[in-house]
Amino acid sequence: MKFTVNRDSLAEKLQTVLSVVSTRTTLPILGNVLLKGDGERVELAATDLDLSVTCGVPAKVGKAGATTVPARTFAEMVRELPEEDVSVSVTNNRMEIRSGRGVYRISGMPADEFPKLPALPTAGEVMLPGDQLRMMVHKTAYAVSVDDTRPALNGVLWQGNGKGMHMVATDGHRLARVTSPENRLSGHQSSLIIPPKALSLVIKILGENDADLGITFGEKNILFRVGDTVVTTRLIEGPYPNYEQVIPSGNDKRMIIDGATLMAGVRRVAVLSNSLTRQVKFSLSKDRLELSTTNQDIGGEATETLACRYDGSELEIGYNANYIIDILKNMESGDVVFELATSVSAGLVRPAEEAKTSEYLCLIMPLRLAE
Amino acid sequence: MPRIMHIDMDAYFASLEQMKNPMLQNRPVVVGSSPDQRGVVSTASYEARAFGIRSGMSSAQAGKLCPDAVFIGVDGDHITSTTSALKTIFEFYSPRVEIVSVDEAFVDVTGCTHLWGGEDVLAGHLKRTVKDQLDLTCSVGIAPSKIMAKLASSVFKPDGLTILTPEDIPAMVYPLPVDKLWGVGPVVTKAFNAVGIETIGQLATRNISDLRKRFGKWGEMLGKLARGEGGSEILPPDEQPDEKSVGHERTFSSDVGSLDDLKATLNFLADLVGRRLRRHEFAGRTITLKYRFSNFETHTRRTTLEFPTDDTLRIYSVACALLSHSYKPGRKLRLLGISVSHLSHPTQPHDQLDMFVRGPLAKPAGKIDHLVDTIRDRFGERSIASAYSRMQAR
Repeated sequence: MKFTVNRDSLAEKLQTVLSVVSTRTTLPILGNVLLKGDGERVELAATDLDLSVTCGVPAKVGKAGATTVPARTFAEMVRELPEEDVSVSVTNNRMEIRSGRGVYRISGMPADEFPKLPALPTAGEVMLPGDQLRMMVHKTAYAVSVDDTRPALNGVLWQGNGKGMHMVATDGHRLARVTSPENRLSGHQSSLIIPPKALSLVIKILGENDADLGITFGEKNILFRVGDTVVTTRLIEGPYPNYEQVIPSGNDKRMIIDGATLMAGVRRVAVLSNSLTRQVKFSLSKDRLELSTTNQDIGGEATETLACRYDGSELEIGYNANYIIDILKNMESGDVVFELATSVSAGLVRPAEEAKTSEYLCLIMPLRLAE
Repeated sequence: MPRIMHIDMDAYFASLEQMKNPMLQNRPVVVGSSPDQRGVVSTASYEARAFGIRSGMSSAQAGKLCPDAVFIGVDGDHITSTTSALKTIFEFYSPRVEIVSVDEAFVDVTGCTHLWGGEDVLAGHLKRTVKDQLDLTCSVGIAPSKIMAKLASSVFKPDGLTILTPEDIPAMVYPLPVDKLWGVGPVVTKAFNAVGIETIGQLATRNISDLRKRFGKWGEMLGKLARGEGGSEILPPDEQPDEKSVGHERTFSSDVGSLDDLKATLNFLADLVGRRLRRHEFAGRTITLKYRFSNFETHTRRTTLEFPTDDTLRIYSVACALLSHSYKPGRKLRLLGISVSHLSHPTQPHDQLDMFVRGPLAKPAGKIDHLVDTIRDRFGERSIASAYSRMQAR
């Protein structure tokens, strides 16, 4: 294989594929990037067997062919090359790179040893605006579970039904659900569970780009296409727990408070909270929210009172401050509504004014306060 | 230069039984399960070893080799009290004592030997004291590192004494097969053999960077240890690091393949682990399940929780989840174990509620455990247990 390519475009695309190259892997070839030169383009691909990415760089290909080379070393080298034009030639999986007055050689492994990437027919491709996917992922992915004893919760649930299209994530302690009225999954899939790593990679590739992205659904895989960059990921096997069943409907104590004020207050008080539990107590009384915490380890104590709208009966409830902050960070600016029942039951948090194009709901479970 | 003494009690469990019951003196004694049960030999007295009986052998086989042998179960209380008496004796010679297991210990005698007039005099005094006070014999090795001292103590057994200087190592240690080195098991031996390392000497003379390249840090460390370099640090008990993990395991007397029996055993093990964590006021985040198939193939599966726990039921439910994700019922297991690591001392109870958890796990954490602990503190460890754990496989 022989080709000439622009250094900056090659470096940029290598950066994209590096996101799926794991640093520690039992299969050495997974540390490599696959390069395929053909026609006017060199295709780059990397995979960790679950998640794969392929993208192309315009190139003058003198002789078609394919090889694999260690991805990180290759990327680092390309970044440092002196000239814009980079000539690459490969003989017997030994790559020679020429740029300016330098000649650099690196050994690779045969392309046919590289795992076969899942191919999906592009016929049933669904288009989705990039900003919509970005919004839905941002509002949910933070709640994905890291507990691998409940594997279904390790992904974001993407679900379509008569009410619209939902993305849901939960780790059992908090849950986030965002709904768009238009169900683009209709006719393709009713629900699938996507690893968050794949979604954040797609969002990263999208960048500020609001163009549509193409999505193709496979039985065990899903494929995202942004321009000519393709991300494929294995789906997580379900079933996803019946989350709708745990969303309470009869929470009658409503507190309305400015989201930014509450977040700032929780952040301040949480500095002195126990470093493991992050417990902050919410004490609610008529139009008043008191935040407090104690920490034996450092002899810390904090209390702060905030104004809110509340006319329910007095209530004391403990929360992990990090969970509250995560939720508030992803709310639109303005007032938020807490719908509560008791100190040991699920509370709902939502924006006081729903955005026009989506509906957002968070559920948070309390920390039981010591008696 | 460091001088480390390794003390290995000779046929410890069997000698203890013979000491307790003079009728057993000079008779073949086997400590372990009885020959009609499926279990293994813990220790055999030297009289029993003459028949070819060895530790780890199945009791049934031992019974065949020596039908006249006396089989005795392990007397845990007696062993614990004798081991603590041994520790007191060792501490007379140096404050730096590391108890490795119930029947072996390292003592750092660097700079102490001149008080006795020589290493052989010190070791001889120690051996006599053990014999006089406890009527037990031990084999002692003194060398520049722990690993060499352990090798030295195994040269002459029983009642032996071997002193290795750095100059002795090439002649005495290098010809030994590489698996004699502490930490080199069958898997590592095979890997070493594959690259032409058969003896400790061949390992010691290999280029260190070559070992690192082929076997990583572990290979580099073994290479240095084979030369007698490093591995001599012994800290007095109060300087020894905190416990890194708390675990229990169980070897079944007959192999088990039913998920129900295995889960009941996990329930039993989780109870032991939880109780020990709480006793030491620890909570841990990483829960590791270990299981071993009949053919000794061993697997471990672990998960790290978001928050540390000392809750028996939580440990049990995580261990069950790990088991059901990785093990297909039917294939029989001979061993099951749970350990909890990544330990900390929590100062605030942590009871994050979970929307999907119903039943007993949704009850206030720690309440049942606290009650059970209180009852056990007062009436003994066996006074109360979950009914399910009583159904454990044995």
